Amino acid sequence: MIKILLTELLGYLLFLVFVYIEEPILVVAFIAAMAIAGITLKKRAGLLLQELEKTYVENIGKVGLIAVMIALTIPFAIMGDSYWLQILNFMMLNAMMALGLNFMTGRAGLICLGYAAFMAIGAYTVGILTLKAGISFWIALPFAGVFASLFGVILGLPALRVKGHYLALVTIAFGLIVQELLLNLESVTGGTNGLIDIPSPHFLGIDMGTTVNFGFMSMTYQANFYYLCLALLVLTTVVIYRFSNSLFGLALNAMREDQLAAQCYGLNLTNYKLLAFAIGAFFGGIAGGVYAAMINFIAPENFGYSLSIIVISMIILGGLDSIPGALVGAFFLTVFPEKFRAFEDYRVMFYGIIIVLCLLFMREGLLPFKHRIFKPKTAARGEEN
Amino acid sequence: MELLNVENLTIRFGGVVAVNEVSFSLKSGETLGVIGPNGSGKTTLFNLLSGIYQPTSGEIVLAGKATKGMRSDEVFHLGISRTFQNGRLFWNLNVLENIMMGMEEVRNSKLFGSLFGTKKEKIIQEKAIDRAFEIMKIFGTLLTSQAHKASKDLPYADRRRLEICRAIASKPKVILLDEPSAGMDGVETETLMNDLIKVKKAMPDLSIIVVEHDMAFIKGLVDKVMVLDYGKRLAYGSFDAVAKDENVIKAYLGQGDGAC
Repeated sequence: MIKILLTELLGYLLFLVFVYIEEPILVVAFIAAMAIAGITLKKRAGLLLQELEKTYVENIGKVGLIAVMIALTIPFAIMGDSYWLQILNFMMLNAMMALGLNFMTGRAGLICLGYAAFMAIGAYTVGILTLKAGISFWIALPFAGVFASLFGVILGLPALRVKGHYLALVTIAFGLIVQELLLNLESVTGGTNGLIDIPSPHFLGIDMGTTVNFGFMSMTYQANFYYLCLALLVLTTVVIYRFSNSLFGLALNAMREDQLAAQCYGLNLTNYKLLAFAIGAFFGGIAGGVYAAMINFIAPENFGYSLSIIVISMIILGGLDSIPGALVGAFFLTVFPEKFRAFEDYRVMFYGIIIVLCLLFMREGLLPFKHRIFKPKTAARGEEN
Repeated sequence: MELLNVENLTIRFGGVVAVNEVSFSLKSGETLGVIGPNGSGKTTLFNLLSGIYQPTSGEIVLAGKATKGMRSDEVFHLGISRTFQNGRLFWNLNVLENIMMGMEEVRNSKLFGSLFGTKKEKIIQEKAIDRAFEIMKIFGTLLTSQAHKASKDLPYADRRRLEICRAIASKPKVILLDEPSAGMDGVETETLMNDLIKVKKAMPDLSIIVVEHDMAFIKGLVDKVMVLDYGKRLAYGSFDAVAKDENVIKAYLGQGDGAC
């Protein structure tokens, strides 16, 4: 318990240091130092790390709780720095998408290279419902998820007949089709101009798009969304965790391993594939909905193919089928590039390099999923002793 | 009463008739051996029985129900489960989970239950784990001691055992064993024979159809033998009768005009 608290606090501290250093050379030095420290730790104190990992895995509930507690303090720790709050908001939305995609691709083995489309659908759902129909954001947001799920099923139907590379192609096409639709259905989506002036949500009568004054300090609007994103991310994680660590998750895993064998053992592949698509897409839709309300402006080019690639590189970096992996992947790939804004043009290249390096040298990702869903009770007891 | 009735089963792939007018029947608790040289249609017959292929003509009736037009998951629910020639375990799942995948409970679990982690769901999971261990105990401690291992990390013979466990986890009426001894040496084959006899003892009502190359292997195991050659049923009957059959000896030992 103390171990978890201390290690998480250490991580938090390192993160704050990282946020505060500005000089690019220092940033590079910091990252290099961290990488070297990580590698030497693994070499010199591998056992200690393993033990720590076991503690984490066995007390996953507490780990999450402490992490959330720490996360609650971040807006104060960085003194309402709106720039970094916004980055963290993006990070959390990315994490939600990574979790959703991870459920499809990691758990159920359904490759999806068009995930940005689900975010687009969620964003436009919220945009259109709140802007044109005047519906409250809080009602529109669930619709964003549901519509994304519906599109997940629509994508799933043709995808039922194809596997592997062909499925990847179908999903790329799906992403492009959705983007083209958004461009061309001008009367509804505003075409290339997108949707402008999407209203901010109101919470307890407070406009979340305005600065909140606490008296001793005031928080920019990003802090409001920070807490909204955090709450939604926690919900997403819990839901995905529950689905993954169940008999349903086990069936999806079996489908990923061998579709034919799974079907011969009674899995109705149609149902399971469509459910995996629908559940995975839901969270993309929610993330998109929040994005629309936070930025107040959406256009088709925000949801292009490169976004799909970014999300997939997050789960590859973190480790396919690993929930902590998806979170960590989203964290690294959102936060690190921010320190290198000068090289903005090379950003997509950076993601490409990450994917290639991971596939070459670290196929299981940073936090691989090693711990099976169901463990024999006797062996588990033996490990505890 | 016959449990499984197969009549005039035929499948064509283009010009090739892979299984040609094959008929046989099986009683509850009976074991049928299907032998034949490579390419004689044994595995195709299994794929037809398990619903992976749809027959061009002919009928498969299990316990009074025709399986025509059913997908393999529906056939499985009727009570036919199978193993695969090359072993198709869920490689990254552990031994316990592989067996659980054979169970009905796993597929009946409801989304609601898994989302809220209901008590009912937990009881289902506990029961499934317990039952998986009971099934593993057919093979003593061989599998139970390795229950936490990923199935890809198992030794070859244990993978075969695991496949059999997974196949019987659903309490099927018929199991189809596709060359269970493939790639095994003499000693391993003999152990497998004993394993199968253990399974038969543990589940007396279970009907088994086993595909094999080797006549000797199935001698002590089967009640009936069917010999396939070029998709056709060459001989069908008791082991001794089939072993003496002239056509079988010809096809098998290559004695005859065209032998090389």
